[in-house]
Amino acid sequence: MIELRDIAFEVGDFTLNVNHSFALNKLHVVLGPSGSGKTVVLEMIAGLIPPASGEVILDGENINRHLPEERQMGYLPQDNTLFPHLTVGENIVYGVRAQGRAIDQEATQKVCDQLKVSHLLERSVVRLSGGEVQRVALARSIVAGNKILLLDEPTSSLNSVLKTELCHLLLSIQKEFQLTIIMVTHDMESAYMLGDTITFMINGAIEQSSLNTLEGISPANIRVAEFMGYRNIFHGVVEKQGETCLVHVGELGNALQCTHESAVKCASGDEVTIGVSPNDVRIVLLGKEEGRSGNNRLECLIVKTYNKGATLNIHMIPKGTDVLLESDFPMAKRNKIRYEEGDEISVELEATRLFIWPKAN
Amino acid sequence: MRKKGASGYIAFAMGIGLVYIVLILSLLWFFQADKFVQILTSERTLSALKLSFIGATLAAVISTVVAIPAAYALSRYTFWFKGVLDVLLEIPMIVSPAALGAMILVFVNTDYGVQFQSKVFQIVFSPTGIVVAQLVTVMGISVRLIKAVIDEIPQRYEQISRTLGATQWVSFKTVTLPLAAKGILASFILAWAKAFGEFGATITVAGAMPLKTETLPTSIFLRLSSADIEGTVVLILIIISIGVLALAALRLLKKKRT
Repeated sequence: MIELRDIAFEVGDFTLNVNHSFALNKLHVVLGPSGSGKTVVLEMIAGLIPPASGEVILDGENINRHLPEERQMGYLPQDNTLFPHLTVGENIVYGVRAQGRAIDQEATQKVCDQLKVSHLLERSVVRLSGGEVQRVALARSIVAGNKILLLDEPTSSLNSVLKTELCHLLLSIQKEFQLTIIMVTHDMESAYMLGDTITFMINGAIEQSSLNTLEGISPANIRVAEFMGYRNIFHGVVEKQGETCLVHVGELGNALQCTHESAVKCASGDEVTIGVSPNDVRIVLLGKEEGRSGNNRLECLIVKTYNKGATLNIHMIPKGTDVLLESDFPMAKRNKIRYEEGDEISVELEATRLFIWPKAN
Repeated sequence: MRKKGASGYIAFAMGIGLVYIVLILSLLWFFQADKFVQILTSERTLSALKLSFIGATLAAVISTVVAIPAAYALSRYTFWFKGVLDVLLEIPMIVSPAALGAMILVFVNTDYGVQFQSKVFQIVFSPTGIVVAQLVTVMGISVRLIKAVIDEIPQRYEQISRTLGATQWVSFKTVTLPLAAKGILASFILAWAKAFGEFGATITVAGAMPLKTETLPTSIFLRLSSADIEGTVVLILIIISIGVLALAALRLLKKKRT
């Protein structure tokens, strides 16, 4: 277990405050916007910067005073840090040589094969592509004997094909070499693809940590929701209805039903913030109302549409309000229907995906 | 590609170059081929050349060796008096070489200096004095140049090598030093060229004894003092040739770096 206990550190205009632990032999993703202190956390674990206060604990032992070379943790920063004066092969065995150990040819070859870098060994590192750089850096760290890898935005400079390839590779090497990987990123897609756990870090604070399950992640608060892309956020007052509740939203002039588990803890009269992802604002297609509850239905006027490739992002205003609502409508479902500015449409806010948080939060 | 409006700026650059071309060409006015060979092969000139060469090489080697760790410290660490140290290293650049030489003379006249000369080695009016004077002149410059080289090497490389199991020393030896090697060599060449042409501090500390402490720049001064213009021209041409060779080596090195 890697534990960060009462860690504090000044980062720009906020103070990093972290209490968190990462189980060994898992792939953990720390997700958050740029500048939220994620890199600082990795550098602290690696021993490159000391925490102002608090403890970094590995398997129950405080390692604050351990030098980076004593921690056996490989750090792969965002920028390319392959040593430019060495070939790929020399880079890969650098750690073993630096430690004065004999090179285990068989083990090294296995790592190189697994990471698909065997054909690059004689090449100069300045002639590698972005994906190759990442693979060589991973091989170098594993060959050096590091069982814990700290990855800083490894997919940020890669195109979508290379990103997917690297994610698949990371999943396979994590299992093959029994690695503990802590990866920080702002890319939700690679986080969902890779993480056994996903931890949200915003402005130096751990806001939420969840197991990455197929059911998806429910944002624990409005900050996480906003980071996850919940742009439909309103304030309202709860009217409890058994396990579910009705939230009267003044700005919409409407009451929205919420059947999500976050509704259970609410009581009538509570002032709350509610949020729904643009993915869960469904357009009700004419003649296709089957399976719809009819609740949370809003009649809207489209004010703008944006083609996002896989989805059509529709900005609309519910009639009688000046509130902007967003929906990401899957392109595959469009079925030749055009949505344009000025069109009137009917949308439904998915009651099971409508999250409630205390207003103070 | 030349941009519009560049000609004015280029004219200034050409003008400055022209000043030096005129100065060099004017040497030919007094150039005598037969005297060139005679002076170049004379015992006194060869001795001055040898002393200048050995002194500059020793000063450049010592200053480079001590400048590497010093420059590393200034580049990588924050410590007390770093700002003061930064100013002190500028002293050889802002104080005239004669003043630097005089400062060495003042030092050897203190009790510590007397002790130093009697127990360690003689500085004043001795060949070692040449090395000391040149060393004091170039040491600060070496630190400055090597610091600039180390500044250019991302500290990330060292950090990564540490996470791969290298100690700080191994990391320095296997990552920083190889990456800085060409820059350090360039700094060595510059220090050597500066030391080779050093005059003010050298003559103040070591004097100008023919065949003993007379370096090439001192020879030029002595020949000029005795109104031997033709002899002076020969020595100037020698010193310019050596300087140009050093600069050519430097340019070649820079080309390879890029």
